[in-house]
Amino acid sequence: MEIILRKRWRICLLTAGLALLFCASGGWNPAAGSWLDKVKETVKKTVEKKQPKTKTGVTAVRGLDESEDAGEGARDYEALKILEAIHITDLELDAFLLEGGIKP
Amino acid sequence: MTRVKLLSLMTAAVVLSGWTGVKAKDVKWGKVIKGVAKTASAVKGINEEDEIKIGRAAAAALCDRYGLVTEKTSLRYMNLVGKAVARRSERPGLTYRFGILDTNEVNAFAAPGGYVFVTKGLLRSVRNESELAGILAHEISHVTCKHVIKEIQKSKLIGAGLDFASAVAKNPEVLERAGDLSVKVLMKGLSRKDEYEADREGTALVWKVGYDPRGLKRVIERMGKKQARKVKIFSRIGKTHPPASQRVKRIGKQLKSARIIENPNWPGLETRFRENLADLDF
Repeated sequence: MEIILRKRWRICLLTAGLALLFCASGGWNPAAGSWLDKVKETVKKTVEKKQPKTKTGVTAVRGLDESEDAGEGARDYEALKILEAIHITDLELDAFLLEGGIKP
Repeated sequence: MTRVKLLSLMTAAVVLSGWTGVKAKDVKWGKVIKGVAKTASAVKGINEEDEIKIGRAAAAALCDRYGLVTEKTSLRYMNLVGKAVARRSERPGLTYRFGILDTNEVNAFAAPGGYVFVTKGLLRSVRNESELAGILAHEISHVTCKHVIKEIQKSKLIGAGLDFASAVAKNPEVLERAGDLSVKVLMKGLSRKDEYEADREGTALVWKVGYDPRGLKRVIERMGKKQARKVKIFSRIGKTHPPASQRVKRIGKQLKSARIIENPNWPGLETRFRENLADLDF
């Protein structure tokens, strides 16, 4: 049993696996309209249906390009300016930490 | 060479030639090498200046989506705590901004370039300044580790062979689209690996500053308990972060392995926290 597993079965499994990879990657191209073409087309259509497209038609990458609930386009730069107007010096930070009992 | 190895090699060669559909002699190797080099440069292609621009666009989108709390005392306090932590981080040169989003949702966001936001809902479950520092340190670590930027680099937004600056020069909309993409990444949540990394780095950072390093762990523990009770407003953070129990376990291990002995003098700073955020009607 061990010998069989080591030799014939291993060769068979390896060849079958590689052959599958070969077919799946389009290495084997039988005449157009064959059963394999039909299978390929069905798989392609199913995958396309499941993959959301962006506005630009680019298929989503790890779901990142999905137009989910994130607001697109609308931005409030005025609000952001309030944050950007806050300036704190290193001396102020040191005093703040010291006041809280933390050695800067 | 054994028969098996020989057969495997031969099959692999046939498969590879079929797979690529290209004969080796037809390959223009010069072009292939140039293409690989260009792709590699695109991966590196977002410099700090671009990162800040993307982060600004994302931050403005978050402000529009949730609204920004504008009470001066609260904002200044958030920035004092955040900046005190950030200046001991791996990227101290970056200008960090810390904002409070006006929503009951419980979450925090770190847009690229140093724009960090905590929601009002999350602040309500924080008890003292050490815990706030822990949360901000976690978010700062997302910025220093460039987690969102790495996600943008993985996307198809930047054309192959282009660096970000060239992509923006070609189409200025790319910048705003990168901002939108950042918001989507933040809404969907980063990978568990990134979240654990931010927990680890954040805990170490807050300890380096001098705050109680158990702050982040305590907030996560509290949130975990509320999640378990299925409080609706906690649903968002539950979706965007790994399970609280796992995070608590990992931070606990980190504290143990770093031999952090509990120090009774670690300042929790509960009173200062309450006083400065009193505007937020807790």
